[in-house]
Amino acid sequence: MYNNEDVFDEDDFIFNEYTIDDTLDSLSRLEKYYNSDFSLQRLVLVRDVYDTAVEAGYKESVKRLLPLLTNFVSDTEPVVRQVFADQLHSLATFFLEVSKSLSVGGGDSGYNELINTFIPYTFELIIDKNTEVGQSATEALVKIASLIKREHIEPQLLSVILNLAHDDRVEEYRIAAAKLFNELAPVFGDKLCREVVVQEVIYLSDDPSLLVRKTVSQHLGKICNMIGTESTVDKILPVFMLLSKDEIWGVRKACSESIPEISKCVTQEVRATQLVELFERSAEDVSRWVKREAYKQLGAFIATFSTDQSAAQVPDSLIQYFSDMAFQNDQNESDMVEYCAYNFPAVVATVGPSKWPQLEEAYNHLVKDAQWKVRRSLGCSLHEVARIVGTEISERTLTSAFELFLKDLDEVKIGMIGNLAKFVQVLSDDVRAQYLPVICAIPEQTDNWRIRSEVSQQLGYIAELIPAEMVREKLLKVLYELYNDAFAEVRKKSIVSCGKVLKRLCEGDEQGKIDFLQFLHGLAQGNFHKRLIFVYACEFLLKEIDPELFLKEFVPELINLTQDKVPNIRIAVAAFTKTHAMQNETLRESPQVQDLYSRLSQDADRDVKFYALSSSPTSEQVKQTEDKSHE
Amino acid sequence: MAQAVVDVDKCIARLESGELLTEHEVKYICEKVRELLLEEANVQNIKSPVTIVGDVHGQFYDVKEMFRIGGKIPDTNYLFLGNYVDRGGYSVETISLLTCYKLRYRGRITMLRGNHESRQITQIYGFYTECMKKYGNVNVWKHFTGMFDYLTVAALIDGTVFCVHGGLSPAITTLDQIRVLERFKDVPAEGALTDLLWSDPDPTRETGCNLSHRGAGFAFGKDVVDRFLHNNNISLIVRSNQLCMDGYQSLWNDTFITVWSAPNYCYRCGNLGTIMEIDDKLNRFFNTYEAAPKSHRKEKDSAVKMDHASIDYFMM
Repeated sequence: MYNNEDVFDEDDFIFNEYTIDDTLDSLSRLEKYYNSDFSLQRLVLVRDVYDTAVEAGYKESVKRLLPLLTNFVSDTEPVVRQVFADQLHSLATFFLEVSKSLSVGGGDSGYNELINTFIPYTFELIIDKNTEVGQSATEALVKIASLIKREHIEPQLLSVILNLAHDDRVEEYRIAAAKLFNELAPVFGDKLCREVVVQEVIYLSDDPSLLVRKTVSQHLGKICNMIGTESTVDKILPVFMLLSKDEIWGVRKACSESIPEISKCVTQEVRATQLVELFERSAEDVSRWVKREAYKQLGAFIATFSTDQSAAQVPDSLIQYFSDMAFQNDQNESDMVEYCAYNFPAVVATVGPSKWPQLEEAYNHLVKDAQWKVRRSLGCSLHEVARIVGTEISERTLTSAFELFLKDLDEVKIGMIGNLAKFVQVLSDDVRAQYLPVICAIPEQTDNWRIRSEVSQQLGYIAELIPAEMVREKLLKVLYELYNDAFAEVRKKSIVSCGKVLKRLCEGDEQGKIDFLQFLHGLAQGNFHKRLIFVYACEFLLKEIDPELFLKEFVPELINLTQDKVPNIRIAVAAFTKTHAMQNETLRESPQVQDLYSRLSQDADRDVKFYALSSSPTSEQVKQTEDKSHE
Repeated sequence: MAQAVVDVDKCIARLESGELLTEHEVKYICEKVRELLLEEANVQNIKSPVTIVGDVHGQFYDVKEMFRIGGKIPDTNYLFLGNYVDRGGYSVETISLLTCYKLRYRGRITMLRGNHESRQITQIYGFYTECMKKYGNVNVWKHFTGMFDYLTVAALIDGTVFCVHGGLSPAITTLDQIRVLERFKDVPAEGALTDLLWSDPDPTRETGCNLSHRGAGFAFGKDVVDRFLHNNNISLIVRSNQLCMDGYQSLWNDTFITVWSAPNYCYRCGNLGTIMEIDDKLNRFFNTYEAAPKSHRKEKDSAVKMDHASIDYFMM
């Protein structure tokens, strides 16, 4: 592959076609290449167009950059148009802010560009035939709209959307309008929404195009939120109920999707009657897609009931529908089971522990579901459900889920372990003690370092939940192993617990305190990795224990380590001293710590010195250090 | 053109979160690092403790995984044996990050040249195309390959462990011969410099060497290694250049070690990656790891996913 005899010649490697002149500044480069036949080059130029404007400054950008932008709006390559749409908001903001600060044209010339250039470009891209371009432009308009002055909202923004809504020829325009009415509702405000938008939406809800009716059904939530409960019930709800009976299933499905959003904006009464009926109707719809969507939204719908209301008014039928979802695997509806698991904590939180008996069977079925995503979701939320249902139910039901998940796939296990201490907190002392050996065995039973890392972080919190002598007897051994793990990330995540552990031992177990201190001194005098992790331990020890104890036990070790022949150790000592020791009032005043600090600030190694002199590195400081090192 | 000041710490933070540098930033860091590399010897002396990293080949997310295993800079000193680019899909991110580390922490990281750090090879095996795709022109490729000409070719740890990308050369018997080679140019088609970057051991061979089937460099036997160790009073040679399923391979009574740090090479070989940790007492430890899990490949999404369990369930 590399045996040709030709002597390598630098000139062979000039690729005129793809080389661009890198002596040009960004703006000159844009001027030279915006029309390149090579679309990738245009893409990169448009991706960097904001940076180009910033670099060139306001005056040059107005003169030379603005006139080029129209080319990107009509670029033949959709992805160029899309990336341009993504840049619209930051570009518009740039022109607006800079002209204000420079008071160009009385500070208004940037705003004039917003109204006369950027908003028209955005609308042009919103009705682009490529839907992704349209989507990006819609998102851009939502952001840009917040820059428009109050008095211009109606003439410059709403009126354009009304034109789109009233265009009988092109349904895409009416679809875009239906989306924008909702997305921009917060910008229009309460008054315009009530006086104009609601009527327009009602009009569009009766559109001959099913896609328009579908879009309306999906885009009502922000309008309802803006006009409030009373108007929602009076004006929007009747339309929504009609749409939910549309002859086209796609429209009915869109309504199912919107149930939770609408439910947030209606009275308790309407929620418990009309919307529950609507849900039940959708859940029995002839179309499988409408049904599935209704079930998918059920958890979120239940969660819109307040806790008080649900105690008095949630029809048990909804809970029944919800728990039925757990068993849908038999009907090959595995998505339903996922939605059920995903929404389980929200539903339990809404209906409260008193309704647990109606949900328990479903939960026990879900924890054994064949899909690991279902089990992962439950593993992640185990601690939340435990907190809501309380100690008694947790110990009776959830501990078996806990045991199952511990033996499960890593994806499931790791999700649960991330909140292990919060789960353990719900359990009574006896049951905690019973599970402690199981928890301590997790690290040795896995070869996945991420699991070791997760569980190690939990052990510090668990130390606070159990008697001090139990910390000594059960926890220390596993902690020692984790602090010496072969993987750096595990050592660093594990050591976070050391402060809490020492604190707990200081509170209640003298022997444990002696043992642990001896171990920490052993780290300080051990091999390279041990010495390094000792220095990291200091941050977390200092956070939790009496500063006097820290001064006596650990500062002498740190002073020794300033003589360490390995610079990396001294770097860590420097970072700790500057960022933590010198920020602590007791330590800062102590002559020992001052001695420590002055040794580090005079270290011969540039990195040690850097960390001793600056806590949060800034370019300025890096630069100064660089300059010094060149002297 | 006015040179805006480049903040290396911010560059590092952006690269670590998966973003690319701008073309201007790449130009700046390459120019600065070239100045640093100019000062390095052909056999760069470094001190233990140090962690040796073999080929990484543009597997950016595995490089990030490697730093989780071995420790971040400046906690850990690193010696990279070359082949940063080509093959993997993120050569630009990988070489950008390592170059920024070099600029920010020159004493904590040493980078040797591999046989892929050349204009000709990168045009065939991916780096050139990737630069084109990500920047729309070849300037970035030119800046990096320009810097590659300055990378040193060998390192000596505590005077006793010799490190090089490929292996030995029939034209070289002493370290001093390497020290006087003219290295500031592209990798030539043949010669001692090329051999150091291209050669492989031949485990079946007791003596001498043959031309390598790669088309450059040689395949050398045990006695070549023994003589080199003896002549130069060193105890061990560490190199990369060859895939090892276990991440490393030790030959000839632990005198010749291959370290490979691209786990699941080309995203399909199923091999492990290894880094070789040498502590301050010269103890060796082979730290072996798997490829980064899928969820860690798109860093921006996964950071949320892994840290906040709540995305896995719904709660008001």
